[in-house]
Amino acid sequence: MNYGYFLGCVMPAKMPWAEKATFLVAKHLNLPFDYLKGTLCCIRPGVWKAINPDWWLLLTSQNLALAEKQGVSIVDSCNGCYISHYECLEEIKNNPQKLLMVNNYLEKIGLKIELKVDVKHFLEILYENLDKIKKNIVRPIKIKAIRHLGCHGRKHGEKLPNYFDEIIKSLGIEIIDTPYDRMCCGLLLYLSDPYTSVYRRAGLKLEYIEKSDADCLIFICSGCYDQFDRVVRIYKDEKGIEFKKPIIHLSELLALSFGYKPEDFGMMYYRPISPINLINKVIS
Amino acid sequence: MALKSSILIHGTKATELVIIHDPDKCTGCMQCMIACAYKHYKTFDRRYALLYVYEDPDNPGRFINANCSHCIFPMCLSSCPREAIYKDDLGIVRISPALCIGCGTCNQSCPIGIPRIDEEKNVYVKCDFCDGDPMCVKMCSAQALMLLPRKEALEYLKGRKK
Repeated sequence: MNYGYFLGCVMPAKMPWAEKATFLVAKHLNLPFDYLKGTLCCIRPGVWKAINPDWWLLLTSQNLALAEKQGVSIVDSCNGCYISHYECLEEIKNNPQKLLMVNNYLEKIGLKIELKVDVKHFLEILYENLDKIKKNIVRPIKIKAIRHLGCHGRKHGEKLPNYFDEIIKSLGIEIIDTPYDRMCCGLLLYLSDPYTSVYRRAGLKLEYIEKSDADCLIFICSGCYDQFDRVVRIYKDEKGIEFKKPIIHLSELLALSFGYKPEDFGMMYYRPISPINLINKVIS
Repeated sequence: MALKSSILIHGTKATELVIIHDPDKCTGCMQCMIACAYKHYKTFDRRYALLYVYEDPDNPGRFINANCSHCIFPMCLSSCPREAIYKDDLGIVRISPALCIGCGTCNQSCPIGIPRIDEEKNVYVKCDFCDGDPMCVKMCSAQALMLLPRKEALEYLKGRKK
């Protein structure tokens, strides 16, 4: 089965380096990857499911129907997109009435779901290819790092957290455990309670990282990056605090370990914390 | 609907189930509170929620949750001076806004202080179990909030303490 990579909202807007690195890595590993075309927003479940579960189901199912039409499995690296697509598919699989409702609307725009589609997290694809990843490492990444998986990545218990850790360790990275590893980035809370969201969630993590031996924070979820990026800027504007440890997508580290140069995927550009020290350490 | 039944209902479909929280799984995203606030007040302001997530003061990065257990013998119900609190046919403990005088006795008698004042209506409000299908549980991605039969819930919590 080919994979249709669901880009989501944040990746093309705020993290083009991660998008480029993800596709470099996929190509390097010979994964049958392409963009999932013509999609909507994932219809963020945290908001829309609470407002009206049927609206959420209907809008999200459009992405599933598009994937089915294109003959691909959906791959998400953003945990929010993943959970929205995954839960939508589970609901229409287990509830024939909901499937009927969704298809009644979808047929008006020429789409239909026959439940042939699958939804996967990017970490699952990487983990399935872990041996291939290990064989392709030409530049072990000798750094210490703190990792942040994100809340929705814990949907299946410890499965995705373990995959995340194993992939990171396979690159030669030493993981530093912290009391805040499980803690939410605060994105979901930002509209409800900005102070707690900024200063008691992502801010606490970034402050901890700054004081630790870690060289960077490793993340996978675009939604979490959206929050970290915002919090770095808020700390600078409101408190005059500038964080020094960069926030790095797992795909960037994979690309570096496969021998790609930082300029191959624009690693230096358009980010709130410069990764120059990290790059010097990895390249040297 | 009878108010303050002399024979407490031990639970039918809804109260056989109870919401429990596992701090080892909670990420503190507060999506449960936000969903609850929207469900009951049509706002994403978490202060309107009817369950509560707190940072554990002794353990940084760890969270505690307080939610109504719809107790078999509810102390809020027995303490209410106006008999405004009752168990409905599903076993859900509810506060009648028409009878509540906003005295706060229910809050003080509840071991975890679940009922809170609705400052606009000046009456106490509490979890209504979303009429048997709690939104907070549905929204918890980390599955820290679980809906379990009361007996299983007790076993789960006992096991976690070990």
